[in-house]
Amino acid sequence: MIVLVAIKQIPDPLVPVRVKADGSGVEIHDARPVANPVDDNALEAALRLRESGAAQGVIAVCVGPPEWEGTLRTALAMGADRGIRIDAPDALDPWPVARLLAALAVREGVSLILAGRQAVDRDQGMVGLLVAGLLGWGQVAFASGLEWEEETGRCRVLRVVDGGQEVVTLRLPGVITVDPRLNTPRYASLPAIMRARGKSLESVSPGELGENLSSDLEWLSVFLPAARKPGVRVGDVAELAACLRALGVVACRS
Amino acid sequence: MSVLIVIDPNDPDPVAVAARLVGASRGLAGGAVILLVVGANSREVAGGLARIEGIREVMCSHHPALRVPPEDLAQRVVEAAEEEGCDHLVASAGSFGAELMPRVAGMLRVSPVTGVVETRDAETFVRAMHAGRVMAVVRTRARPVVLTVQPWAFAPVPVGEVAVTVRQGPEAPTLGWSESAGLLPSHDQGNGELSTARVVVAGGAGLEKGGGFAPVERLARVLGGAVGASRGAVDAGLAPAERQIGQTGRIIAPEVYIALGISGAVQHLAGVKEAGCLVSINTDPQAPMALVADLALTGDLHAVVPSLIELLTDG
Repeated sequence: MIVLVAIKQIPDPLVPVRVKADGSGVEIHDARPVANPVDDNALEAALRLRESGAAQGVIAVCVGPPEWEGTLRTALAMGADRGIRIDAPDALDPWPVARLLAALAVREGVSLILAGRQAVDRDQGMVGLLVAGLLGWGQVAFASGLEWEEETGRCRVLRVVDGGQEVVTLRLPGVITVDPRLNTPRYASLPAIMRARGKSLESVSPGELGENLSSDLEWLSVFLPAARKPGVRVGDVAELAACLRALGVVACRS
Repeated sequence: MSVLIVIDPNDPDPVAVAARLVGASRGLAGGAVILLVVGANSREVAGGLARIEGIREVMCSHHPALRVPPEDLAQRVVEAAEEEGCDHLVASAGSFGAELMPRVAGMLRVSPVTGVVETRDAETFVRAMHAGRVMAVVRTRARPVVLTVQPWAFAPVPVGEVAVTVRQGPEAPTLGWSESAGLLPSHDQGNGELSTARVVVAGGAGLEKGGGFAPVERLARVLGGAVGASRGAVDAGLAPAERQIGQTGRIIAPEVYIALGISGAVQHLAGVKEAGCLVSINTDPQAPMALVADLALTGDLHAVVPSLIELLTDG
């Protein structure tokens, strides 16, 4: 099987975000670009599938401007076989991103798409599952464990849901979105980084995929959430207990 | 003009969640509200759902599985929306809706809006991003409008005595893409339901040194609350993954949230910033959680928790 890994480049999520004065968007100063952290978990999972012999190739894909090629090169240094950038503006909505990824997956004969469960900048959590719906493929969301079962030809996935951890088997072709605890992504070695600099990245235009960039969404404004009222430093446990009692919090003897 | 709300029959309290989703739907077009519940246990859940005020009917669709695969469920949702002419499709932003609704939207070739915390009008919504540090107002031109909604952000409609019609709808298909083998056995019984608990007590990775999560579980239990955890605590194996609160875990809004030894990374705060009262108990007075908390006590939780339980116990 060929595995496609969707990777988004985002500003370092540890750097504070500010709302622009006119409320038209956010600005993030001095944030170095990084791969969305959980997308690295998706790439790691794909590389392990290839190393175990289940996958024959791993394609890392970004949907973004030329400035995102650094992230693709890092994916190559980690071990991806190919890096493809679908040319698009930064901060494209998930809906056109999903259409482009779906079209590319079909063109490349991919049978498994791995993606992070959400990009931690916009927190929309939809690209991978939109692709699954578009293509009519099977899906598993929030994978925290993943193995290929040769005898059944299915993926066996452990997933985190609100009520616990669920065991699911998935027939391919399919889409799996991954949770950060799926694995620990490897670091690219220095020699691998040097080699990746020399590799050529492929670039595809939306038109070549028969797609456009249209979206249904219009981002009207952003604002800061209402600040919480300043808190109180309580001096000791008795004071804390009194405050909690005032909120109706009491213990029952057990 | 009608709203289709998809209910998770395996939710520990489907009626409470549904009442809030119906509350959220009041901000949409003033059409009829239909609740759809799919699965082997759909009939059992439907009776309770039918008493929620302000809905037209509950539609049940049978499926042989208790945990219906998302491909089968999404197919049924799309068909029901077409049958009923729904222009809004809604589900909870918890793991159920977060898995289901993007697929439904993809099948309908529209963009969904996820994690809605406020409805401005039938097509304009407020949602959080950047780990809850920024709120965005987004308008969709998509039809139908496909939404996931944070239940805690909306007041529930009342649940009355009179039940509306429970209608047996068409069966959901069995497409055979994915299949659930059920939930892993958990050693986590009796630690409460995070989504509905009035009080949540959560612990951080620092508890590893002190011998584990026992103080968190004990305090939660005597307060009749639920146990939560930071990502660090889950990664350290102190609590199961489904207890994680934060940006990539559960987003909750209990009346009282008591953080024991949680430093309060932005990613964690994203999961509790709408809590009624944030309480921090931490040895570090400069921990972000201590700075943002409504009530902050500097101290060692292993000393604080036993005396807190003593002081909160009557008689």
